[in-house]
Amino acid sequence: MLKIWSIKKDNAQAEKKKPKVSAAQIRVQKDLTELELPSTMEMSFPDESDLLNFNLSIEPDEGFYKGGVFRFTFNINNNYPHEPPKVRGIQKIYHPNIDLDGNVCLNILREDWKPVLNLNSVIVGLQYLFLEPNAEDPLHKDAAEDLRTNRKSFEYNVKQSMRGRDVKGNYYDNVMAKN
Amino acid sequence: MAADNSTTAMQTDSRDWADRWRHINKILDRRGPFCDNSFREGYENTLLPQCKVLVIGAGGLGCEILKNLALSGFKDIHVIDMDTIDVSNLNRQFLFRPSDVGRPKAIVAAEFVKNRVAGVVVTPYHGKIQDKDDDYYKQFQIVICGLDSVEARRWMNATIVNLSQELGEAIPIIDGGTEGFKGQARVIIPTVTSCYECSLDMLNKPTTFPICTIANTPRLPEHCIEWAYVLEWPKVFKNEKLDTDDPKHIQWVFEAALERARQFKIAGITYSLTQGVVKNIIPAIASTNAIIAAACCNEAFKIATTSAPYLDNYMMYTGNEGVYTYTFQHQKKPDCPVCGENSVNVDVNKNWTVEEFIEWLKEKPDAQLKKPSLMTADNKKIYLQAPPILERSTRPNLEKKLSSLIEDGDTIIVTDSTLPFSLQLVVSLI
Amino acid sequence: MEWRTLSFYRFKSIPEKDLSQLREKMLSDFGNMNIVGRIYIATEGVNAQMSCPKENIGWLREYCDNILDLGNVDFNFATEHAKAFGALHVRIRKQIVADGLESGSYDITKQPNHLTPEEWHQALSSKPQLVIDMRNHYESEIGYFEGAICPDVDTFRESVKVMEEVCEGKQDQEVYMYCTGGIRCSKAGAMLLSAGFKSVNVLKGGITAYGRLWAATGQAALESSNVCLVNGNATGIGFFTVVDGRLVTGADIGNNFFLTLEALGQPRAAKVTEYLQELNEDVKGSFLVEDPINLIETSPDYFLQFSLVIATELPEKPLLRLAEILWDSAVPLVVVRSTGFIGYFRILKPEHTIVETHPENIVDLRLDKPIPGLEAYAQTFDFEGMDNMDHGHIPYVVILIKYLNQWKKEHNGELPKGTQERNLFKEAILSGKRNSDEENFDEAIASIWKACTPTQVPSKVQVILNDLLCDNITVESSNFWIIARAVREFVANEGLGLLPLSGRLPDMKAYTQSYVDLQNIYRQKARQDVAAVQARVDKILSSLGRSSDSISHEEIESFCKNAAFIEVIRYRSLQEEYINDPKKEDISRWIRDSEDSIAYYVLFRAIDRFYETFQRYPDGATLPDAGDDAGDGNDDEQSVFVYEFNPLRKIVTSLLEEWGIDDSGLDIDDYVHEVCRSGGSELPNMAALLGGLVSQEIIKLITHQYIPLNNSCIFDGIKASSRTYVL
Repeated sequence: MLKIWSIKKDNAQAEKKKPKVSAAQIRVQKDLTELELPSTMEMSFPDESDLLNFNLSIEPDEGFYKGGVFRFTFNINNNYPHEPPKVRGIQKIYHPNIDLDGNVCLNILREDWKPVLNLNSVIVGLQYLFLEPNAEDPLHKDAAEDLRTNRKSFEYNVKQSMRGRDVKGNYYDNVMAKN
Repeated sequence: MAADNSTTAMQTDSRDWADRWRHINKILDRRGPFCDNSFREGYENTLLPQCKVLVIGAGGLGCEILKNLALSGFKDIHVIDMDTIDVSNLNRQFLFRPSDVGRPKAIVAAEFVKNRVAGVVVTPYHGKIQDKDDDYYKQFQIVICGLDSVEARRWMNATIVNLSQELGEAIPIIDGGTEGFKGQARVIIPTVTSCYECSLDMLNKPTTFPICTIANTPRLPEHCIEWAYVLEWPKVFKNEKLDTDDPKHIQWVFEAALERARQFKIAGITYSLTQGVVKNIIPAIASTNAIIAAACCNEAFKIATTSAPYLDNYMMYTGNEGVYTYTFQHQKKPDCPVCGENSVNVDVNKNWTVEEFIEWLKEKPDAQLKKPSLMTADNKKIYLQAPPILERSTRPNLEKKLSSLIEDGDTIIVTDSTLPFSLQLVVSLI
Repeated sequence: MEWRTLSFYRFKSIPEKDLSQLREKMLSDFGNMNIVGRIYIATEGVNAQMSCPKENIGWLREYCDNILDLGNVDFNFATEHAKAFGALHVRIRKQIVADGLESGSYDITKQPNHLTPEEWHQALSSKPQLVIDMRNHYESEIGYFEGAICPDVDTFRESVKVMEEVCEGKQDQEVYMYCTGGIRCSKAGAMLLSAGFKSVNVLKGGITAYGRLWAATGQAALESSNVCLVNGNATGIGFFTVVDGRLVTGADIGNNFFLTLEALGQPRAAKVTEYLQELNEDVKGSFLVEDPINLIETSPDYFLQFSLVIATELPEKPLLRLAEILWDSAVPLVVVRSTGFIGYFRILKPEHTIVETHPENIVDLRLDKPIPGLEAYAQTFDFEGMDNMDHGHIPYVVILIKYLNQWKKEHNGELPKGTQERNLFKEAILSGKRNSDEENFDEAIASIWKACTPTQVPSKVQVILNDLLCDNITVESSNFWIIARAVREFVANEGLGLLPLSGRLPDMKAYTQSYVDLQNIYRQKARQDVAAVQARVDKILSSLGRSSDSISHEEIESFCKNAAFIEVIRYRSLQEEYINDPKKEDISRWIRDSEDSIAYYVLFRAIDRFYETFQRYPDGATLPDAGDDAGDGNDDEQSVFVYEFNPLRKIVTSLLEEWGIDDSGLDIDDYVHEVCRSGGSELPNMAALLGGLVSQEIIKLITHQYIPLNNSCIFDGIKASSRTYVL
């Protein structure tokens, strides 16, 4: 006869159906509610009942990108944290590690992602990109070359681009904070 | 699950013929030295006559599983698969014929098995596993998964583990998987053994390359292919998502990658490599599927008949160098988000506000919570400590009565930095 | 939208008056389903080539079967699936394939032999005289079968003319012909047969079917193999022959998915062949209804025609005899058996050589003995003068060469030896790292151990190169040994003590250009090595009087690439295992390990002895009173069964005694008990599992790829674990 594995009942009122909540959902709840957002960052939810899709804006308070507000979308799927969140910039900006389509070159978003990492690690990584852009492994080659060869010129071009002006024939989005 | 003694015995089934079950009956009619104590001789004393077994997937593994189950004496088999038969399935998935191309896999497989094995009822469902609810899944005594997607297995595992917890009775899951010459078969007894979620970190990570490499310094043909489908496709097709099953999409990626490889003087782009990189799959081998499916069904047979102990709980197989298996007990993760011991019943004063409830939680010595965040199991926010925007929007709830936000018997999911994962509170309002 | 491009045709008589109505119907019905393509209808049938939306294929199937009544016509799917037509055309024609002949001048019902792609492949490998390409010249320009006559024509009408010219007066010859989808050959074949030709063979499904099969597999060896299954029913590949003298029983049907009640009492060999063919209609099977034991005695040579033999359920004596016959002719034999939850199989083959062992990693960088050009290339990197980006993209191979050179300069040309020196070397490299992000330096450090290990011929390969068969190259020598001999000479001469280079470079952090440069340096050296080995192979071949193209360049190239991983397995014969040299010591050791499964091997051997005495397998009976020679196998429980425990246990004891193993204190009774319980039963799951394991090994044996089992495997379905043994 079949062996019966009796297990502790979850709830005396078993007939009441327990809505299903996925492991990814709970993990996102944990990640979000333990975030320590610095004052330079803000999150927003287009649909507050959906914690898997949100926006993040970064307003660096030092470095080349001070004065700008940089916006990213985060999309998390139900395979989180087996798969990393998908992060994309929504503005066209002049940055060695972010291309004109908003792709971000950050190792933990792709090749170095591990389930033990969390949203905080990703946000810290993003913030670091604005403080210390990496010119040695470029995604936006011109910007990186600029930074490598002449920091002054790079700084100037960043400022120009942030105001929505043209840099080397490319127009960028105005990302200046409105205050 | 109680035995229904009126069920027809295997030997007297009108559709049976002399000796039909001679082989299986040797094992079922006689006790062996390794049998479980609960073993009782005779087919009618096993679960086979009335066992409802669910097979998830009717692909390479699923076809083999269905055939094996039917031959093993299972009578009531159900199968779910959302795909239709494609030409490329015909060489491995032996229940399908060229004339079946375009028809649902589940339906064709069920028909084939029914026609072949007298007295077996196979009930197909052509659709997604997510279409079905707990009432559907709880009718089964055994679930066998022959899937190739991590996401679908996580869903299935969580559903059956939760359901088992609710029913107070475990529905065993047998999970099979193959990748080229490698495969695994495992038995999951919800809350007793480790579950699929417990072993998530054992999975191989899909190969990905740094985005700056694929954008600027490609060296391998794979880099060029990733460039084409990660960077170029969204640029050219904007909102159209790449469908990895659409040969025209793959063809586009292949041609774009070929052109890029030409520019960088990189050799080795082929259509099949493109397919492999884009779909991130290692091609299935028919013999590995046969081995793993048979190992899974052997476990189902042992569980349903107690004629021998079942696998506890994991068998790995590799076939590229001789024959190699490694059988071991995979350890349960205490803080597993799916099967962990993280559910507690609490009695709560129905007049408490959310704030009072949180204070009570923080003082509860066995919980050790500092800054708990609370949501209901159906994804409604009660109070979240962070990020600020969610804290602000849930702050008004602090003054509300808990009983205005949840119903008696609801589950609250609590997260807190002091908890390894989460705590599920089943709340009785008193 | 996803499309499927397919073609089908059916010769079927359609009244002329119905044609236009049929045309209207097709236009409207296919149009509604978004099907596009070109359809010819004629009084002789339907011929269609179309692209159909993937989701409507099911509808099309139904429509052809039930509305058009085309009798389960074969859909011939193209390998590429794009929308191949712009619109839908249905045309009424005189004929569905225009041949330019008067209707009634030949008999369309005289159909040629339709060969499956495998049969076709097999037939063409014997290079027949008359192979005709019935396609147009622009089709055959894409590619054709070797030796085929490809008429320079634009239409089928002209092809027919050329065919008649070419075939004139050759009524007694075998004619082979092929076209794109098979329809033209159906007609052309009928013409020749009507004209008195004796044997006309056409490729079933045409080039389309052939391409589908072969593009995906590339396993020519596998599919032209000829496997013999003795009493078998589990597996089927390529060509197979089933030899079995028994009739199908009720228990067989219960256990076999493809057998139904109608098969009851019919020859097993015939029925098993039928179902294996159903499993894969492209596989060609035949059968022989004869008791294999009898066949082994009376005409053992029968088995020598096969490329591999699988034997199940053979008693010890005929098995030994069969094994001996096959061994002497180097035909591989796989012995399979199972009882209850326990399975066993054993591979027998005097020698098995493998070039493509598919190791995880065939990289060979030779940093200790840099290949020509590598040093000079490394010199072009001016580490100090580089900016950070360039410095972060120096390939780690170059980094290692630079630091190794520096080290060698300071240490009398020696590599870093031992942990301490390697740590010092690691620090030297670390000191050159400019910042923590420099992954190329991390890669260099991760490869220190490999770089500091002197490159040499692996001892396993050295053993192969020193083999007697490598010494004595004769006209009998296989390609493997001829190339091995050439490689040995290469190592002793221009190889300077090393094997030919694999030429494979792993991915590493680097600019595209420097990676490609490095790759070229390695590839060039690999090409030179292959050329040198090729020259030596040519010399050996000419000394043997064999032509230089009798070993292909690809074969030599593959050998060179995999040279460090080649394998030679020399199996032990069954004679050795059973009689001359049983593995007594090993068995005695294994059997004392309670986790081991060797006890089941002993039991399989004991079952054979039991069979010899009693002419049946050990089992049990429902006797309430145990007889004298049968004991109750279970003392604790009240059991209604009486197992033949004692006689089997006695045989086990005497077997172990023969091997000098004292079985007192051995925990073996449970195994004996379980084997009696299973009574020789074959559980469907165990049969499927063994079938999978065995076919995997057979594929390895026939393709000479990957490393097959050496030599025995026990699968314990109770524990769900396997063990392998050299027995």
